[in-house]
Amino acid sequence: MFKKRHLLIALALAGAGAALQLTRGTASETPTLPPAYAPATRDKDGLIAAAGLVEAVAENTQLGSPTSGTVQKVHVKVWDKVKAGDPVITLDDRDLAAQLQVQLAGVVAAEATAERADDAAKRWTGIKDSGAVSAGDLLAYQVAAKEARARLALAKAQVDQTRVLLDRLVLRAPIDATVLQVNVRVGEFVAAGLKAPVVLGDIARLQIRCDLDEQLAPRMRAGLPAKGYLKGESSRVGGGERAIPLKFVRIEPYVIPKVSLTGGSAERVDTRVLQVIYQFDRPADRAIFVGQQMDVYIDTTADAPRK
Amino acid sequence: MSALSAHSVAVRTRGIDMFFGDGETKVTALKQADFEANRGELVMLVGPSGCGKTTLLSVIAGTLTPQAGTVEVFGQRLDGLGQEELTAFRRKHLGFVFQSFNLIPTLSVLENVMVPLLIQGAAQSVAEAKARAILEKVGLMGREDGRPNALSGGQQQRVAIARALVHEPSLLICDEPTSALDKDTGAQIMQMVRDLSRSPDRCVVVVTHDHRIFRFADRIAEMEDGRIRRVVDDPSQLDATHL
Amino acid sequence: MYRLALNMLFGDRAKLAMLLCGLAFSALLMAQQTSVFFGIMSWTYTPVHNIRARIWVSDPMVEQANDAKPLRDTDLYRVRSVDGVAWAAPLHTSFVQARMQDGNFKLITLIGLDADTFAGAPATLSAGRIEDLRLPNTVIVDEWGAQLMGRPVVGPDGKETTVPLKVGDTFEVNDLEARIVGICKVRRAFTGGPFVYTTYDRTKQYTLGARRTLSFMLVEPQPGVDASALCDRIEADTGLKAWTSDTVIWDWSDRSLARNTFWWFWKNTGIPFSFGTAVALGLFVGIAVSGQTFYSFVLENLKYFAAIKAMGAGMGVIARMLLVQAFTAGLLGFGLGVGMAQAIGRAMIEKGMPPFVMFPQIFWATLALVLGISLVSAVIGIIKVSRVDAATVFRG
Repeated sequence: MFKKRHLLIALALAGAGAALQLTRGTASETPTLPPAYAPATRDKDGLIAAAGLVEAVAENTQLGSPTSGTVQKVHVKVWDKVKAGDPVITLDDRDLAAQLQVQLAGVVAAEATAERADDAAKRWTGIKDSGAVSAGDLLAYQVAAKEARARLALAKAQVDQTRVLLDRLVLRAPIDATVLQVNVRVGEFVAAGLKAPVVLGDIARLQIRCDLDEQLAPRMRAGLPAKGYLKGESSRVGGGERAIPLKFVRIEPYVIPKVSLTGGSAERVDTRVLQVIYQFDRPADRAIFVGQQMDVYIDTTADAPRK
Repeated sequence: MSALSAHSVAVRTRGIDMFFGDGETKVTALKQADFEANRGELVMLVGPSGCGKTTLLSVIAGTLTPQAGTVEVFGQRLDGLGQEELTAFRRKHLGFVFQSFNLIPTLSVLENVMVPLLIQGAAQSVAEAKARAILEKVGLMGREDGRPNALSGGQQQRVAIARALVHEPSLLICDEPTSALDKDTGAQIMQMVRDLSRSPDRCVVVVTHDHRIFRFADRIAEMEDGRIRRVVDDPSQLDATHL
Repeated sequence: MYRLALNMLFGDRAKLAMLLCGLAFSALLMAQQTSVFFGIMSWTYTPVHNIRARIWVSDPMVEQANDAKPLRDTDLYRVRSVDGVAWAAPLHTSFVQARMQDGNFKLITLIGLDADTFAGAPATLSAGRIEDLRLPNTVIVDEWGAQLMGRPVVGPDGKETTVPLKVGDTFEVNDLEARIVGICKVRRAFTGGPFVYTTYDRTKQYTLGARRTLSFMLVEPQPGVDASALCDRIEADTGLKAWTSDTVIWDWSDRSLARNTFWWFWKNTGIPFSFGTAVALGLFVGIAVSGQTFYSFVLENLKYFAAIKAMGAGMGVIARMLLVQAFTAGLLGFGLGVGMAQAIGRAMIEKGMPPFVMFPQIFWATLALVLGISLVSAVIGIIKVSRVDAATVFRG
């Protein structure tokens, strides 16, 4: 028999049931989902982590100018490959070029003078027995000729000097390299010894400079293998292997202060880091650029090959 | 019923003393009260207010234990029994009709009548069948699913009588059964009580003020100051003005 | 007899309605008040909820989730060097002022996520893509923040309404543009204002030249590594503090960041006291109301129980009848009450305000309290009936 009380009981049961269900909902934890992009994941024990920075093997050449001057010509663009000795930048050489013309004229003049003095000396020397000339005059002619030759040599040397100075206005690549940065344009003034107008690097082979916290330094040994994960290259979860095997090169002997880059005017020392250099073969399937960051895991469990 | 004696005396009290409180506030309700009722009899207890008739009824019903004296109901001594035994005795052998009916208003008529049987532990179906049978006897068939409050006073008291008799008690205790009823209804009720209780295995004790129903009594015991003053067979022998 | 007891209970509709109303009202009050209280308290550990990770690592002096003490960048690599760690990602949190387009300033919680993996990113974006955070000067704001920082617009009827921020809108943080590329759904926080997500590297610009921006590290244990055990190892190896991210605040172990945050606010702020008083008052009123109604129900039936007692029912039977009535009424009232509470709660959760967290403990405690009240009322009733002289039934 259906009674009103059954409705009441059903209502109460429904209320309690719904409340119980709500308690499940509110009390249960939000599930921890994996990140949208797979992080560099450790898969074994005994790894130590470091922050790596990709750089060129020969380290980068900050090509500097020995003289100050205005840029007359820039011979290269970024990405250009240069051979040792190839010109990179030419500074304004007009004053030296003008000076060279004057000096060249001086050489011609000195040659003429020397020729004339030589000629006179020869002539008087040939007739010295004739008595037409006194011994003293003859000596004077001979000295004058010697002096004129010396003046010619000086004038020639000055020309050579100017030529060398002119050549110095052309900045040349000291090594075979790739142009990484060009920081000047034609017409700009370059001061000697200040910011490098051009940065060259050998990017055919890259290496990783790893900053290892000094507290992790005791666990580091020479020759340990490592794996690197490029930042910004994390693929969607489930993507393929992206670890790059790294070969040990060396440990920098000097622990340096790590600079915390704030972008502000004062960069401050944060902590000290041991720097370890690793090398890798450039993978064929992806581009890697100098200056990219890399998460590096060094495997301390592996046997370090003795050198 | 077999446990009870076949002696013709159904209820007997001897030398009952009953008082409430002590010291200055001591109230004596019964003083050497001796009372007897026989099987098959309907005995009325009458007397002025405060004469102790309700107290004596309570003692007979086993709801009060006297300070002194003996109580015997159908051969069973009630004085000296513990609460639980008294309760069990009431459950089995006593039926009650109350002045204000005391029907449970939230239960149906049928359920009210079933109460004594269910207290005894009877099965639901058995109790229901018996209750229906007795309701038929008191002429309330067809009203069993209604609420007691929907009935007239006389009908309610009939329900109360049905309830009091449904478990076939030996002793029926009626406390002022007609005080809430008019004359004719009261007479009908008393007639019914008498008819239903006419049995050698049963005894009815009625406490009442109502002289209009004295004629239904076999004997009338008049009480005064906590004791039985006299017992008469005929109501005309009573001093009506005294009541 | 029990059926009769139930019939007695259900027989009087008016009384039953009053009784159930009292019990349901008190259950509602207890469940709802405590749920809102714990909802508000659960806002204290919102960061743990919104930024999902298995383990958080912080400076050893950090006491709770809203307290960020900067770490060194290299600490990340020290944590990554701990055995059992699968990965670790940097996280920045700070409270900064954001300048709205209308010139107003609003406090926001700036979250810097690792741009590489987006570890700890909000689970649900209602607009935009997380990847767009890699674009310059971009942020993702939560829905609350979008509303809070929205543009006030005076409609044609003169009423002022707020147009929430949407993808493409901008505001300023530390004089830098912040362009919205996404709107996310996250929980509101107790302190610090809405959540604004950007990349970890960009937070250096958004926070006024702060030297260290690493506030926390999010760590994932390797498969099969217990989070709590890994926390121990991280602490031993690095001297930093490691926390688990579970949000069960009832456990007394001290690893959980949420739990520590909850109890930190409990001990160090007046919130539990001020809100707690209201909750205690609710509990008290609930107990009083339901106790009173049930007790009056027992009193009204006392006369009939006395009659039943006179008719020969033992106290055991009567006690059980009363208990059956009490517990039936208690359970029904409880069901109706928590039913109402959960309905209100669902509406609140839908709106997001006020916070509503009905822990299972709240459910069971309310049940226990309501049944306790019923039991006490029933026991008082039983004592009353047992004291009633059966003889009183003969008097009017």
